[in-house]
Amino acid sequence: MSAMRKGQAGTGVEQAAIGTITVLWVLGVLLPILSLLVISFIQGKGLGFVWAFSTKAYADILVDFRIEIVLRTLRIVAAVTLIELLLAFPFALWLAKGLKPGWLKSTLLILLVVPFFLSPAARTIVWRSILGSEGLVNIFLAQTGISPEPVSWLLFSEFSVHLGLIGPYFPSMVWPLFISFSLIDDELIKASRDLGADAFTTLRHVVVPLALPGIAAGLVFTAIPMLGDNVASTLLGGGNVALIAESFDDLIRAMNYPGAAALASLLVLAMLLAFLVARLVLARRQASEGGIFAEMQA
Amino acid sequence: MTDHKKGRPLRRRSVLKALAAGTAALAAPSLIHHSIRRAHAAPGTIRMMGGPTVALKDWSQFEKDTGLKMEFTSFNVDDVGALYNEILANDAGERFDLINTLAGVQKPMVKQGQVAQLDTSRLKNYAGIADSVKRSPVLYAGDDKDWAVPLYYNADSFGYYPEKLGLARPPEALNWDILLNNEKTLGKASIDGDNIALMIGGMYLKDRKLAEIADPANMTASEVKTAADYMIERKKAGQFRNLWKTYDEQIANFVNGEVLVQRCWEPAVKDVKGRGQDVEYATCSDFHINWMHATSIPVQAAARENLEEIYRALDWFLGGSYAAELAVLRGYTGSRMDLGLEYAKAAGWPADKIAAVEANITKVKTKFLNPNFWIGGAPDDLAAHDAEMARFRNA
Amino acid sequence: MRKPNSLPPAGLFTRNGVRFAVACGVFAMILLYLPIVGLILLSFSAQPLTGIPWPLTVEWYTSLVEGENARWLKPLATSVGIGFLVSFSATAAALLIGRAVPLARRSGGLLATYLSVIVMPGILIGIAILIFYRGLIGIRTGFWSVFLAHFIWALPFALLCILIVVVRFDRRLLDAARDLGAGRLRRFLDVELPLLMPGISASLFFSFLLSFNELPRTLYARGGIITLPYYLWTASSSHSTQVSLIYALSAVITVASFLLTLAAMRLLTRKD
Repeated sequence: MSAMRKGQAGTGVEQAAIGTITVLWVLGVLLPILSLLVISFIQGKGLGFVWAFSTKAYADILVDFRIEIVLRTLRIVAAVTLIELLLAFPFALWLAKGLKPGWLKSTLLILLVVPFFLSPAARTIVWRSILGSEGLVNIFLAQTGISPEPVSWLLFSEFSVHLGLIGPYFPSMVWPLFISFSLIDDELIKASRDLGADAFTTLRHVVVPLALPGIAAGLVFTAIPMLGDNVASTLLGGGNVALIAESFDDLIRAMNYPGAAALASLLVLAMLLAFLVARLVLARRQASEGGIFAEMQA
Repeated sequence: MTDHKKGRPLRRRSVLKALAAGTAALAAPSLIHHSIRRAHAAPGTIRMMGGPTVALKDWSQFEKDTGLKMEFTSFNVDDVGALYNEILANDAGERFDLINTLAGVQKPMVKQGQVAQLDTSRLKNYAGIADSVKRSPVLYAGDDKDWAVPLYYNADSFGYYPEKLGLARPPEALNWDILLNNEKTLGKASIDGDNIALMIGGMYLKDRKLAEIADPANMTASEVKTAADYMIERKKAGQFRNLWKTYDEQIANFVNGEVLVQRCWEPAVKDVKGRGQDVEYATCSDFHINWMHATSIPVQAAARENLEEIYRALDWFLGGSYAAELAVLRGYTGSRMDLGLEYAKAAGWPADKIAAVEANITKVKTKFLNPNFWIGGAPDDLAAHDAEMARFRNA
Repeated sequence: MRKPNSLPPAGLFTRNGVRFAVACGVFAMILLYLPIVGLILLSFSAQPLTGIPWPLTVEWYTSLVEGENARWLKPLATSVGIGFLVSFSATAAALLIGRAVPLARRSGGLLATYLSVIVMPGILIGIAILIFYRGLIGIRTGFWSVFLAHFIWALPFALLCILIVVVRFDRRLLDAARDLGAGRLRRFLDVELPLLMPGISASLFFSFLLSFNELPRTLYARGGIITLPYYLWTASSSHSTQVSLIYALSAVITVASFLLTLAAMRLLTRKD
């Protein structure tokens, strides 16, 4: 990109408009999110606040059962994210490098986009009919004689919450992986094979290192939104699997805004940490490869 | 085309775009005004918010009697925290003419100036309500003023399958062990997912003399902890299949064979019976959960030009047709059951429906004579209840 | 973007490797689509709550427009209205920003500013809006805050749609047009806009759908506004007759969203 074009970024008005929007965005969107950190250290009073430093919010949050909820959420999110990675890695690799372009590929890609735009609430409740005591799975188990008694851990359990999360977050993992696999030059893979490396060695020494940004992005894009999921635990947990989203709901209903802000701050910190790790991984790659746009335009 | 000329339309385009993009900030003041304007009256229409069981299947009698249209929005009023949030943070009073709550919930709202004082002289059916109801501690704030009218009340228990469990049918009395502490129903019971679950625990402990609890419906922080500990012990023992939050979940639990016994609302049992299931709503020998639904006028509505219509609507709820309809539809006892019976007879209702109305008059003399606990919606230490409830749900 | 390669590189996938990869994908896709298909099937069931699709009936669909049940029309109008507003404003903002990104000196920072919110859990955005605007500043939440929450959700996606076409766009075409004497406006309208159109249309569709189906942010930022997803979410706490709504209406919305996404995808992936 030449220096001359950089100067052409638009008229003054356009520049000013972009500047205005960006300032509004930072003040109106990013500031409220970051302000949670400040609010978490003051005291709430009904709908308003008392401007005095207080760690009461954290005292409300950091009690045994809330810590348990946070740890449970982290555990479930980590487990489901790992499952997604294990399922999505081979599938995305096959989509990118094993499947010729054609109707099948386009159909699969479309099927992976559509769920982003569907409301998760209504469809998740359908799992109840499948996993319930008299649901389809238990009818099947009873009729085949595998288990004459209904299996109760299928629903209102951690199992059902895991199951309910895997589907909706699968595309979030597939997409970054698919894009980074697609960007790998086929010649590199061919060269590796020509030099006598077997498929596994090629995978380990060529594909995985080159796809590292995609893997990092996939983990971030899957795990972080999942931390705030309020649908699976509400509809499939049946009051037996409390996750962070439910704690937010409790705190907001009780109008304990500083408490909710404190919990949110912990979440934001966890996210920033995840970003930093992802960035470190990316930085190592980008040092040799140049910016992402150079890559896209290549 | 000169440079001067082509600059102008471009500038306009950019500015328009910037305006469109900045809508979030720029349009905010006008939109806020917009929402305040919406708060004004909608003459000829009564906008009411309340528990789903307040609503009739069909409001045509209301419309015929009052000449008003009913716009009913249901809200899970048992979830007191959510209700307060709706009133205080979301300004429900600006959107509704009447707000129905569990009686008792309105008391803190009165203190916060959210409720309009009632001019009971504008309600011709109000005077005839029994004093015991009108001055019930859940309703009456003790200030010699009237803030809310009692709509109806009931003695709650749980639904169960008498055949499958080998239990007697009402009116023969059962006790709460079947729900909370029974081998046969282990993993086959369900209970409220809100504070009422803890109150039930408190009632059970108090009734069995297992703990010192002054008022299970309004426990102190340490009392509610004791109650929660007991409920957590039962949850950990695997007693509960799930905790429900909605009316539909109560129905689904019965219909899908998830439970043998379930703490639920009486209308849910009526509904499931209607689907051909053999379910009964228990009469208990140990205790019932008594509650009342009250309706008040939000303070914002007191200045509305349709205040006369609001009073007319409120008076209708205290009249005979609502009491009779509701007794048949839900099995709840209206605060003017006398008018209800009068209405049913005058309208020439069939004998079985009249029996359903009469059953509610009998109920006042039977179920309500048990050692009962009234729940007043909002305990004084709501925060402690909410925190303990979160602990119970987490267990 | 790179043109698709003519042939997949030989040797990376053995027959069993393909089987394994496909099995993984099929398993996850079943978990993803089973409830969606189930929802549509159950919307035709006489007893949707039992989970058994038969006996079939269209009763729920016909009752959607009867009396009390037809009350979803108002939330529908609200959702459509907010959807359009979000769709146009997010696309306009994305177009403005997206065109500047490849030329900007600090494109990375600009992108991070706008795209970082994409990964924030939805309820966090809703809570931030509620606490900051309602709690801290004291402005009532309502229409504007729902719009803001949806705008925050839609803008990053809109920006991605625009970026996909912007980075494909060859700026030398603009230079050529200028050499041929076209003014700035003509260059934008006749050269740039037609080439960016697939991205703009996709952005309009996607932004609308994101807003239309949004729930977790709306839950907290809604004030008194009732959007359709919120209405459906609370309808479940209401009469059992509302079951018809949840299944039938959700099925209709799901199918419509599906078709709209297909249309947008076709626009975005059309060969230039």
